[in-house]
Amino acid sequence: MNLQPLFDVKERLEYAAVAGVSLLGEDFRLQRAAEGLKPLAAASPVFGKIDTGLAKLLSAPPDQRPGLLLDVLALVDAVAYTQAKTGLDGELEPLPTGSGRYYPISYGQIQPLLTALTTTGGGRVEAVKSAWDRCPDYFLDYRILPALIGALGDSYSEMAELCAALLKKLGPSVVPMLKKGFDPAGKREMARRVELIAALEGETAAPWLKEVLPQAKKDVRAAVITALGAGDEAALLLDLAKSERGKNRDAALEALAKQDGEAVAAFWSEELAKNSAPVRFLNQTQADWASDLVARGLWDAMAQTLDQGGRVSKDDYARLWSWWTAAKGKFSPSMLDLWRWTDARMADIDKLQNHTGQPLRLGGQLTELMLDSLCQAGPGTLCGLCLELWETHKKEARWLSHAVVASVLTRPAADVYDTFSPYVPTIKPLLGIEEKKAFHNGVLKGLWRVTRDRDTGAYLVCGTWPATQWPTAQPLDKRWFKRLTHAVWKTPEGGGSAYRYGEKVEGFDTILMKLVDASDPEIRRELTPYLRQRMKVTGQYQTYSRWLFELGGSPQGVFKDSILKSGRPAYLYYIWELLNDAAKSLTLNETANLCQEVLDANYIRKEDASMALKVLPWTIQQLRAGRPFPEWNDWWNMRQ
Amino acid sequence: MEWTEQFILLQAPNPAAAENGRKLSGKGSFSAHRKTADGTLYWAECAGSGKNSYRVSIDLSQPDAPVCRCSCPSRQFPCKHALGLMFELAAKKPFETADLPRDIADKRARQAARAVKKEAAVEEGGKPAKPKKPNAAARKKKLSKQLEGLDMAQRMVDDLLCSGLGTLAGSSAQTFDKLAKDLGSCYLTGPQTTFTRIALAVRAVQKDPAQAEAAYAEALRLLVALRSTIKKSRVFLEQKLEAGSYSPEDSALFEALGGVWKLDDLRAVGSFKENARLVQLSFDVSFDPAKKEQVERGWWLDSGSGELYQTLNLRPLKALNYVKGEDSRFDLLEIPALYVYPGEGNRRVRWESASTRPLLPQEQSVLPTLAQPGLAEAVKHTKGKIKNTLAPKFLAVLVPIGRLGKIGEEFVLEDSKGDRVLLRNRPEDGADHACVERLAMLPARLSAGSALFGLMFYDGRDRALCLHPYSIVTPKNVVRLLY
Repeated sequence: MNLQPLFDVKERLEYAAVAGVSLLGEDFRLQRAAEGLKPLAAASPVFGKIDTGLAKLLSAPPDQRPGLLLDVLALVDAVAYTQAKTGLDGELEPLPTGSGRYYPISYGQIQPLLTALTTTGGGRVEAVKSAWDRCPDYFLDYRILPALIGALGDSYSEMAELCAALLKKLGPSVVPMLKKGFDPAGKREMARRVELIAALEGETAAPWLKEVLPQAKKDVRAAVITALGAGDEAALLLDLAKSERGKNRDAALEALAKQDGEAVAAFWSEELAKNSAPVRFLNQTQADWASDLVARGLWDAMAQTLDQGGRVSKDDYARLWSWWTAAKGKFSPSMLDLWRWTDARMADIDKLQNHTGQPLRLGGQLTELMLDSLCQAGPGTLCGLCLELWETHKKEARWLSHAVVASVLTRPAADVYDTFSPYVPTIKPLLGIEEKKAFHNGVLKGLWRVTRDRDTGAYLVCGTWPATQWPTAQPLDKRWFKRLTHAVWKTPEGGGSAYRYGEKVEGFDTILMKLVDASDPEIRRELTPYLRQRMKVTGQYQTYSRWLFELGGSPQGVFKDSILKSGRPAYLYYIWELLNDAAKSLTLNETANLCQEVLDANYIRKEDASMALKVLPWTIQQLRAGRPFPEWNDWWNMRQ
Repeated sequence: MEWTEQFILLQAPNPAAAENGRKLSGKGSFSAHRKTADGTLYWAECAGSGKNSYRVSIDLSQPDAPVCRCSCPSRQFPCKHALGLMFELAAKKPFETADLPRDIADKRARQAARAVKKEAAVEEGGKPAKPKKPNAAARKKKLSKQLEGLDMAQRMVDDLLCSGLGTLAGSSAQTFDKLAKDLGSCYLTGPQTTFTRIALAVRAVQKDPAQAEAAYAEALRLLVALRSTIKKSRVFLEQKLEAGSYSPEDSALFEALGGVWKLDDLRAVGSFKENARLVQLSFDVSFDPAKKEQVERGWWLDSGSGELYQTLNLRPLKALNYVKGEDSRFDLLEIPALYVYPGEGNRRVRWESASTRPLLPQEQSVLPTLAQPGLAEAVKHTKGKIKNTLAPKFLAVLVPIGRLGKIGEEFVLEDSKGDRVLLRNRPEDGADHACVERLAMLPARLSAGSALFGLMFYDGRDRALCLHPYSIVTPKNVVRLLY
């Protein structure tokens, strides 16, 4: 049965309701629709009823029309419902299976997470982090995973990056979902998807990357090209380097830097001959061809600069430095030769001046760069070169830190200690103090590059950009701690310093704490009294107290003196933070004793002094009664 | 007793309170953890913002209904401190055994005395309490007032249609709102809400003309329902006045006019069921802009009869923090007395008390078999229900799954007889309820003998009867597409 006349009537009635039934008498379209219904009315009683209703409506006085219209409409609707079609003809294509999982998670558990992932506003990053900490598995739930992927396009980049990091942690099982709904012409969200797929699938992502490349636009195209660098795609990338422009060409160059082969080397040789700016892309490769290429380019550039002598213009310096930066971590034979040549010309290099006529100090920068390069390259020929340079110039400290790092990476711990500890004197020398101090600083600068991983306990030499970690040949010799705690000089100052609560902590003690194994009782015995004494001398009670807590020690007994020595009245909130940290590692009674020392020191800034006089005795009382250390709010509420 | 995160969330008035409780527990705010030897009371001190700690306890005399007490001034119940103590229990923190505190012992004694008194009253009189004698004069006055209100509602409908829905803007909309409010004073909150919905629908057109067709259709559907309510209610109320019967009756009109059912009234009209066992199939939350309240809706399957019910927890926006929220439930609920609201299809239920236990595998395997025999039956049933002008234009159904698939861009369900229905998101449910696409993300292939639960509705866009899927009921579990 053709029901179109019925729907025509319905449509006209609805128009009449919107326009007003007072105009109904003039609505010829409704009258025409009513006419159209007549054949149906003859065929079925229910349509007959509608027809009668319509006739009544069209002939009714205006005041009765609204009710009659709604009555007819009710009837029309009821018929429309009963005549509704169902189903759909055609071949039923089975649904795919998703890659997520199903967890019986309640609304109260899902909704805050979905809200954080799909809306805007503050506190969302924290909500996602806290949900991840509680139950990372929930992020694989098939209702949450799409929202997590969708949040890669969050306008708050911290959120988008967090989601990318979480997706990476969830592993390759999320890849099908990342590919689903992928839009090659999309924005940053799609570029992040590409980065994730490439990171999760590695070289096996190449076929998919090649498939999407032709349609990829803007950010996505650059991401796809960059990702192609992970596979063996030299030919394609060489083509792209020729055909792409701007950001995409940079991406092609970045990817090409990770490729190998004669054609690639030839391309780069030609490219750098035309323009040296793209040499920055060679930073992240250690391939011999790249190393040779950079060494050759640098040699020419340095030779030219030294031949010219005198002042180096800003542009020339920038170009030179971009070459040197590219040399970081490279160790082909020609690169080693370049370093030897540089060492031989160091006196000339030290004479170079900047564009204003001031010393350029390029020699010092290159020495630092060599240390960075060594940390980047790890054990290998560069270690040999560093030891060779040190052996050649043992009378100066220039290559000492390099020799320390190279030795730590390649030689037994005891040998390293025996060789280099004499450069850290424990008795103040009478002669040649400045020179000896330079050697002392050289050793400490080398040790600064070594860190103890707190999770694994391994000693590591760390390189930066790209981040690398090289385990030392053996764990550090424990004798270093005694030597260092008894060292005459607590320098270098420039070796590193930690600023906390306005305290400038010297690099020396920071180096010590980077190396320390807090679980070793022998080291703890050695360091605890040392740190207590340093705390008293420096007045840096915030930093040293926390270091003592880390070693299971306490500043009790020197706390008051250190506060007084600090030279600045304390902020009460910082005191609360410190005592709150103390309460986490000390007993309640020990924490109470520290509170008492703060009270005795009576060295709180005047704005907080009256509050301190109230809260500290109360806190001591609470702690002695076995109650936990109070919240800051508890102190704050007592300020009146 | 197992303290799970889900159990704690169920006790919480809202997720934020639970989160705050979790933070308190996480940062070690609790001290002096104690419990009684019989494990029926746990208490501790919780550091608050004041100088004295709060004393918080959880009384498990009735494990399904923990009684939380706290010395804090919060109006939320349970407060974040009590929820925090629950997280302490979930984290299995050590609680020292101690004697029952005096104040709690006193409270328990008073509670026991009240229970004994109630029991004694039952034994003496045979009934727990004497039913309140209705005030006939007041009720008669109310019915008369309602009849007056219906006349006013009729006039409003007539006026609105005479001038046309399209004219409902500016000052006429304000007058309309004012008149709608007057209906509230005539005890006609149902029609009052309908008028508010109509006004909202028309305003939606003014804000976004692209929505005109759908919004006017919705406004007209409401007007048709309202006209029907007015007509039927007038007859209903006049008959009641004539008969001098003023108590609520088993009729959907009572609620349509704005009446609120009390459990005693439902019991009085015999609309209740004993020893029901319910399994939740789906849970969702939406916002009702006309009533300015959050609607927390649960869909339940009676594992005995196969009937489908809904629970509605209405939380006014103004009191959102003080009215306890509901949450998804995964256990089986055993309910001594299930009160069922009058009406046809999508019937609302409530209960006073229920015990929970995990659903046994054999009980779960029976659930899909409670589905309709086929799609044809479900379609017929739905058409029969939604054509009633007073009924909502959707019906909750549980239908057997033969095959799930796609034809072009449309998701389709086919039953074992080859009948098909389109699977679509119901536009009125809003974007946050859109879940059809999740069918293509289901983690595993559906096991044979599964059923699909959802809302069957009429889609005016192409005049098709469609199904908005909410969950898949398999012999092994219920896979929720929403919550």
